[in-house]
Amino acid sequence: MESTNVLMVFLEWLMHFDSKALILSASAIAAGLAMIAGIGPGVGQGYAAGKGAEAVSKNPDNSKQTTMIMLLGAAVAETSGILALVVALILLFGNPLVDAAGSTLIISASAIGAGLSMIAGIGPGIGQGYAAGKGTQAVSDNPELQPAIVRTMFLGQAVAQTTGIYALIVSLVLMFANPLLNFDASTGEVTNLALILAASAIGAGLAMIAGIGPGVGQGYAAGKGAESVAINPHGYKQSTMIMLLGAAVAETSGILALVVSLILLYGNPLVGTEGSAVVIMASAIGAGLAMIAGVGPGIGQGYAAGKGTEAVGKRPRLQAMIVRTMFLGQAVAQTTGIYALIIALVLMFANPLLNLL
Amino acid sequence: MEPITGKALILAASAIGAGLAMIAGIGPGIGQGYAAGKGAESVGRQPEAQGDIVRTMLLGAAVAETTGIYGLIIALILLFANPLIGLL
Repeated sequence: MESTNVLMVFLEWLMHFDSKALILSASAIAAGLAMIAGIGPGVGQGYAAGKGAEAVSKNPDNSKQTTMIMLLGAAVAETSGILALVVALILLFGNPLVDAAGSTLIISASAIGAGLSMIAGIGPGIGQGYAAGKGTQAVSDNPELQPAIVRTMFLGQAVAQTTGIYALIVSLVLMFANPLLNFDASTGEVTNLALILAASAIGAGLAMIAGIGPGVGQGYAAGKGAESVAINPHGYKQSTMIMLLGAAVAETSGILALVVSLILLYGNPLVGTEGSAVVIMASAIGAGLAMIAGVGPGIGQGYAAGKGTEAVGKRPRLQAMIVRTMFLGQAVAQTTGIYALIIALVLMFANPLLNLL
Repeated sequence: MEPITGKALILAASAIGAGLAMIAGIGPGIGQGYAAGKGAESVGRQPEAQGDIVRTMLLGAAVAETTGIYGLIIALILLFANPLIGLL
């Protein structure tokens, strides 16, 4: 078929290649995409290092203890970088997609999706690093409170890791248990169905990038939690509770992104949709892109959670009023994430564009 | 333009992948810069603690470097020891 359509010409050109060549090429790009996650630990651990240096200057006698807390916190902040490295190494040295049976196009796109998803690791890396810095500072100022401070810091850091884990799960599903391959049995040729499923794999990966937001925000809350424990040791439980409450709200965007990603993977409504394949394809990618908006609410709500924790730590008796204001502000901060979800759902379930052709 | 082989496509994609991996360098750059700033500030405040401050700063900055090195390793593998070509 002679086609003048740029996309079709490109796809036909791609399909001239051996299917393994295509999958391996996509894996090479995906390995690179995954490593972008390294931005997060780099920023976060650097912040911790800075706070460590500052703390040593204020309190030189505690330099060993300070450095130890800094390294402990920074080690947690490394997690997302290691997870991304593991995914890249799997793609390079233990690639499960090369021998996967099914459409070359879907498998190649799944590799790209798996790489894109890991970019979410930027968030936990930055957030946990912030918590490490604040924890270091707090322990240096109050060495005797070390156990309580470190406990709150670790707890907050663990929460901040969640969206990075969601991203890892989506990445592993795309590589090892790809549900999209069950929809389409064709291997070599470019069918409309294969195109839509390939776009869905990329969309599922893109949506997970939203995880940057909760990761950064919850890490900020964790840092403020550790700080509050140092300022008001008696209010330790109260501060930690407010931190977890606020961080739970900040998780929303990460969960919404995971839901959209799972819909694209497991209950894809676009598969049975009638209409122009290229519009449906673009809609799958658009739905994933829309969810990236979740970065904003995640960071913002996490900031509110941190400030709320700080305020309750300083003035425990005003807890009810502070928490009410925090929740109210967080609800407003969620709006753009909800807008994005609506657009993603419209693109997937009630696409108005298909009627316009 | 001569026809592009499957091997050429993988190599071309590896070039793109190597470039993408290096974007990770944004992070260590920002983080270590912050550490350097705080280190300078701290030495200014407490000149006699310079040794301790610089040691903590460098230790922390070394940790912050790791993900940049991971990115570099993946890029170098893609460029010099590409395992994907052997799978074709």
